[in-house]
Amino acid sequence: MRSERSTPIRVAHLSPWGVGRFARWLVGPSLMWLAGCGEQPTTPKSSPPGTTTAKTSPRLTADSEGRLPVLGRMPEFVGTASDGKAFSSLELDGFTWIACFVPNAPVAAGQVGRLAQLSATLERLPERREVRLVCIREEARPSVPRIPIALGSLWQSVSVSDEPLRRLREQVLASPSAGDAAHSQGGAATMTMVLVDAAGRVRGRNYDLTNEGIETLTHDVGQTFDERKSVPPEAVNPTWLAERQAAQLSAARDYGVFHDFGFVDRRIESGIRFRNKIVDDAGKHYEAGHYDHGNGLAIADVDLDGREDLYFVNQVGGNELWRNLGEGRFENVTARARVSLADRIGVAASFADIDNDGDPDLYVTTVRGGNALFENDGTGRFSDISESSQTNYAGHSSGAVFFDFDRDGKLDLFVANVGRYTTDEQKLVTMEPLRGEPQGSYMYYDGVKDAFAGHLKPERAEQNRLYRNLGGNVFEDVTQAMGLVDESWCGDASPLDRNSDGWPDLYLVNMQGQDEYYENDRGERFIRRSREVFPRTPWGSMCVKSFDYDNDGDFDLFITDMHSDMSEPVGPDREKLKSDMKFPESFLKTEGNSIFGNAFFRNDGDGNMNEVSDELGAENYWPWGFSTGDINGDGFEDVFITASMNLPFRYGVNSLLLNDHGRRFLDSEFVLGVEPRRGGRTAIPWYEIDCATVDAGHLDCEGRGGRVVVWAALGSRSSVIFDLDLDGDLDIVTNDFNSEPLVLVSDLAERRPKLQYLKVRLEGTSSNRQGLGAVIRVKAGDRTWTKAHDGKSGYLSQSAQLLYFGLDEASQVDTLEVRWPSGKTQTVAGPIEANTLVIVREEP
Amino acid sequence: MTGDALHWRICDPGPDRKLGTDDDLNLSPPLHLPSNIQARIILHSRDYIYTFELPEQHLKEIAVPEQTYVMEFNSGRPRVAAFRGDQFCGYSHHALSGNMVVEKWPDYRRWQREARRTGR
Repeated sequence: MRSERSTPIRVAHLSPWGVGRFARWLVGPSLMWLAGCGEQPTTPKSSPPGTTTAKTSPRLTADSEGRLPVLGRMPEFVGTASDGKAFSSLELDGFTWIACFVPNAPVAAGQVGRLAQLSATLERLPERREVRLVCIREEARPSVPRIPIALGSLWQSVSVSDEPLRRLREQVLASPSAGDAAHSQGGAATMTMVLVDAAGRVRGRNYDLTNEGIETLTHDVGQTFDERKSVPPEAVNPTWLAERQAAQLSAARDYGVFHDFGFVDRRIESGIRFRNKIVDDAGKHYEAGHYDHGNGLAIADVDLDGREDLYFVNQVGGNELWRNLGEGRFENVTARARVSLADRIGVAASFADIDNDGDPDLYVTTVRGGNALFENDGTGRFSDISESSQTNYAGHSSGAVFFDFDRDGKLDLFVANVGRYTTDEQKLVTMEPLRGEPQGSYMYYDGVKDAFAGHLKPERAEQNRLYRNLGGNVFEDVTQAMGLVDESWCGDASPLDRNSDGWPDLYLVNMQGQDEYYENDRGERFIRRSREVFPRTPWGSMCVKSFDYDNDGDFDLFITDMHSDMSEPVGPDREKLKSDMKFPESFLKTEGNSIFGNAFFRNDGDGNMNEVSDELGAENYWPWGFSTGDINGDGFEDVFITASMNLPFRYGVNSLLLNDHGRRFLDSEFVLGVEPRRGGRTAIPWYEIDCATVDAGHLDCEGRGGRVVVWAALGSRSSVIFDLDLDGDLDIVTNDFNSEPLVLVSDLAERRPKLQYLKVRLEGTSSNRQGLGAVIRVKAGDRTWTKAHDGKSGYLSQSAQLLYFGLDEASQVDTLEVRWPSGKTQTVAGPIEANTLVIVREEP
Repeated sequence: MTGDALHWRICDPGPDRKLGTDDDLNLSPPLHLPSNIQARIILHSRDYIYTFELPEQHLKEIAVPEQTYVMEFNSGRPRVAAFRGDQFCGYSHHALSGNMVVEKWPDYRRWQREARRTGR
C-alpha cells in the first residue's frame, strides 16, 4: 500500500516549518505515531475499516538525503472533463497535481469518501491554489465510480478513451493493474494515485487511499513545495494581481469603447507546442546581460494557402515554423521548411519578399552564429542563401527591417546590432533537464559581466548594417556609403516617412542612451537629425512603431522603454508612472535629455513630434515590444505591449491598451481576459539545482540544502496581432521567454454585433511586390483611416501580413487609396463591401 | 571601494592620506571616514556593474570595470550611516550594503592603527 517514492515519513530531515506544516495535515491515528518519535513504525499499520489494501508495487528507495526521486515524465494526455469540454494535461503545467487513476471496476467501499478526505486535506495546504487533483477514468465505462462534484475546487474528473488510458497507466504506474488486481481476485478495487510536480515530472506513485497513503501523499505534495524557491518570493502568487483585476474591472464600467468581448489562451487547442528556451546566462547562471531580451516571432503565409503561419525564434534548440491549418489549429513544419537554425542562438525574424516573386522570404538574426537569409520556393520550403546574399553578418544582431530606402522596387535591409555583450568563451547550455527535453549540445558565448556598461565603452560598439538589394538575391553593405554609421546600442528600428516626402526615414531605438533618427535624403544618403527632431527620447528604448492612433491622417510614434524600469524596484502602484530614475548621470550619459519611460510622439501634422505618453496613459511596467491592431473593431488602433522581466524580478502584466477614440488609452488586459494568464500562473519552474552536491556554491543555495527548484516570473517578449482563425477579428500570439507562447484567441466576431472590417493585400509592380512603404487610406462616409504598410508586427519581428482596417459602423468603404513607394497614387473606387479581402495590384 | 565578487573591498589611504602608497589598508566594510572632511570615494569594479548609494546624502554612483567613478561629499558630523550597494540589474546582495562610520580624527587614527594591526 506504500507509495513508490521513499521511506514513508521523514520527519528528521524536514525543516521546522515543514514539520509544523506537515503536522497540520495529519489525519486520524497517525498523529500519535508521528508526534511521538518521528520514526517509521516497524510493523505495517492496519487499514481502517472500509479500506481495501491493494497489492503493492515495488518502490524505489529515496536517496541518501531522503529526497523525492524523479520517476520520469508524466506523458501528455487528452480527454473530456466532467463539464464536457476538452481537457489536456498541458493545462496542469505549473501545478503540483495528483493523478487519481479510477479502476475499471467497482471500487471498494469508502474509496470516494477517502478521496474527499484527500481533497479536503489538500484544500488546507498553504499552496492550495497551486495544487490539483485529477481523477482519470475510462471514457467507455460509465459504470465506474460516479464521483460527487462536492470534492472541492481542486478536483477535476477527466475521461480518457480506453487505449490512451491503458498506455498512460503502463507508462506511469509501475503496476498498471494496481487497483484492478484486487477486483480480479474477487474483491473491490481501489483508486491509485500518482504525484506530478509543477515541472511535469512524476515524483511518486502507487499511493492508495488509506489514512497512511493520504498522509504520505500530502507529505510528498508538501515536499515539492519545499523544494521550490521563488526568485523573488513574490513572483509566485503576487497579492496585488487580484486587486488590480478588481480595480480595472470596476473602472471598465465607465469605458466608452466596446469591450464586451475577450481573449482566451488557446495554445493547447491550437496544437502549438513550441517552447522558448534560453541560455544559462539568463537562467541558472544568471548574469544581467542582453540575452534576456528574448526573441521575436513573425507571421507570413509561407505556402500561399491563404492562412498566415507562425515562425517562433528560439534562443536555444532551434526556431520553429508552425503552419496554420485553419480553425485555430497549427502543425509544426520546421523540418520540411528547413528553417530551424538549431546550431545558433536566435534573436529575431523578418519575413519579406526580397525577390518580388510573390512569396515571403525569411531573414533571421543570431548572436554571433551568422545571420541567415532563406529564399522561399513558393511552397513553404526554404533555401539558405545567407552566404551568397552577403547578409550573413555574424555579431550581436537584433531586429531586422526590410524597407525600400532607394525606392528602386527591391526591398533593402537594415540590421540592428546591439554591441559586444559576450566574451569569446563558449559554454554549454544546461537548462533543459528540468523540462525533460533532450539535452542537446548547444553552445553559447558567455556574456560579459558588465554588459550594461557597454554604452560607456566605445570599444564594444557594433555598427548597425544597411544592405542594398542589388537584385538576384544579392545584397551590398552600404552602411558607410549611405552615411548610416550608427554605433548606438540598437535593438530594433522602424521605417517611417516623418516629413512626408515619400522617402522612408529610419528611427533607431537605443536601449542605453538616446534614440537616433535618420532622414532619408532621396535615397542617396541618410542624414542624422536625431536631437533636432526628437530632443528628448526614452533612455532605455526597446520597440518602436509609427501608426495613426487618432485618425487625423498623419503618423504618430510610440516607443517602449524597458531599461528605465531597472533603476529601482517599481511597485505595482507605480506602474503607470514614469521611472523615478536613480541611475547617476555618469551612467546615463544623456545630459538630462531623456524620458524615463515610454514615449508617445503625437504628430501635429507638420512633422513636429510632441511627447504625450502620460496624457494618453501609455505608460506601463517593464515593457518589451508591442504590436498594434484594431482589437475591438471600432476603427481605432489598439496596442498590446509584452512585459515582465522574468528572473530575478517580480511578475509584470502584459498590457492591452484600448484606444478611446484617439483621446487616450484604457488599460484593458484584465477586462479582456489577457490577464490573469491561463490557470492564474505568474511563475513557473525555471531551473533546478542540487545544493547538496554540484551546485553547492550556487547563489540560490543560500540557506538551502538538497534539491532546489528555482521558480521565476513569466514574461512575454514579442507578439503579433492577426486574424489567426480567419473569423474576422484579431487574435494575439506572443513569444514568451523560457516558456510557452500565449495564443490569445478573440471572440469579438461572436460578441460584437456587426463586426465590420476590411483586409487589404498589396501587390506592387513598379514598387516592391509586397508594397512595403505604401500608405493606404480607406474612406467610408466622413471617416478616413490611414495606415503605413511597414510590416512592423512587433518587437524583433517583421511580418508579411495583411492590413486590417476596423470599420466600426461602416458597412462599406467608399474609396481605397494607395500611395505606392513608386510615387504613384492609385484609387480603388467603391463601394467595397465590409468583411472582404481586397487585393490591390499596382497599376502600370 | 572596489566591487569584487559581490562584495566591497575598501582601500583606506592610511596615515599618509594618499592612495597607492605602502601604508594603504585593504579592508572590508564598514567604511570609516574622518568627520568634517571633503570625502572622495573612488569606485572601481573587478567584475560586475555595482551601484553604491548613500541615502542620507541622496547620492548614488556606479562602479564599472576598467573605469573610475567618484563620489564626493562632506563627511559631516560623527555618526554611523548606512550605505547601500547592489549589483546592477541583478539579484539583491545583502553583502553589498553596510555602514559608513564617521568619526573624529583621533578616533579615526585609532581605528587605522587597529586596522593595520588586525587586518580588519
